[in-house]
Amino acid sequence: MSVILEPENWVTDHSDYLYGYAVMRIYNKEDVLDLIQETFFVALKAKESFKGESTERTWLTAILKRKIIDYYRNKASNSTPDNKSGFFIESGRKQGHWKTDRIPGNMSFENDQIEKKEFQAILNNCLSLLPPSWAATFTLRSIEDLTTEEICKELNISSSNLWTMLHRAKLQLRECMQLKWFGKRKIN
Amino acid sequence: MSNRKNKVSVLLGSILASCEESTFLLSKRPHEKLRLKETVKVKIHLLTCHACRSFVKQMNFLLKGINKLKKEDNLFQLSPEEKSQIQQNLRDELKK
Repeated sequence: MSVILEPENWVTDHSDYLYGYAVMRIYNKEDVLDLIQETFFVALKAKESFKGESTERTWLTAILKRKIIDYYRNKASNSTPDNKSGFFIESGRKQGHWKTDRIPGNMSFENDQIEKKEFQAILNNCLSLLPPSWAATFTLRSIEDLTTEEICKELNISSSNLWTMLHRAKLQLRECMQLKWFGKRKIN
Repeated sequence: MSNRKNKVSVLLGSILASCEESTFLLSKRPHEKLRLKETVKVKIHLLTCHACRSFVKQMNFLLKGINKLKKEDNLFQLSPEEKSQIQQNLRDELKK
């Protein structure tokens, strides 16, 4: 039994799903819309190569996934991290300690109930504030689940640069989540 | 004497890590197996450092949240206008 492609119904059947997938990985709404559109165009061109071995949705998602990797490759190829993260004391006896104004807060996120949608919105906002190459490493590793080797190959970076950028990404992401989370609570 | 002092600091350096080094290793830990020496360093550091314990806890919470989000299918939807625009463009492309 093989699956037949129905491009006429793609938007109705799959666009929301593809949109949800892309929103988790690309943090600029315009770019997300462009990628969805391009995914359908590419799929149309590649129609003949569809062998009916997977569902239409799986096939379209694979194309979108490839588009997302290309998106980050364009933004983050050959990038190197700056010398300093800005989070830690740079010299003297306390070198390598947290700077006092950047120490992680005591709060535990866990006690806060939060709607998934709200969580996603804060997360996306924070990820959109990262330098593109940091966002690339975090997204491809922690969300897209590419392997270290795959990311290094796609972005043409060394694994040590990958780990440094991922470190920076996580430092900044955690700090941002704390600020936005706290900020919100104060308003309420 | 100073030679001995050096040896002590080298020895301490191999088991004590700064917050910077610890959070670096902690960022790597969910993705790649750390070396034994690195694991020991991180464990010792976390015993004594409250700030890095917070870092790890909050980071783990975030990653867990992300994994939950990944299982959601329908959290966000395109607006009807966006959909019809995409549909229209696709139709135009189909006609070509």
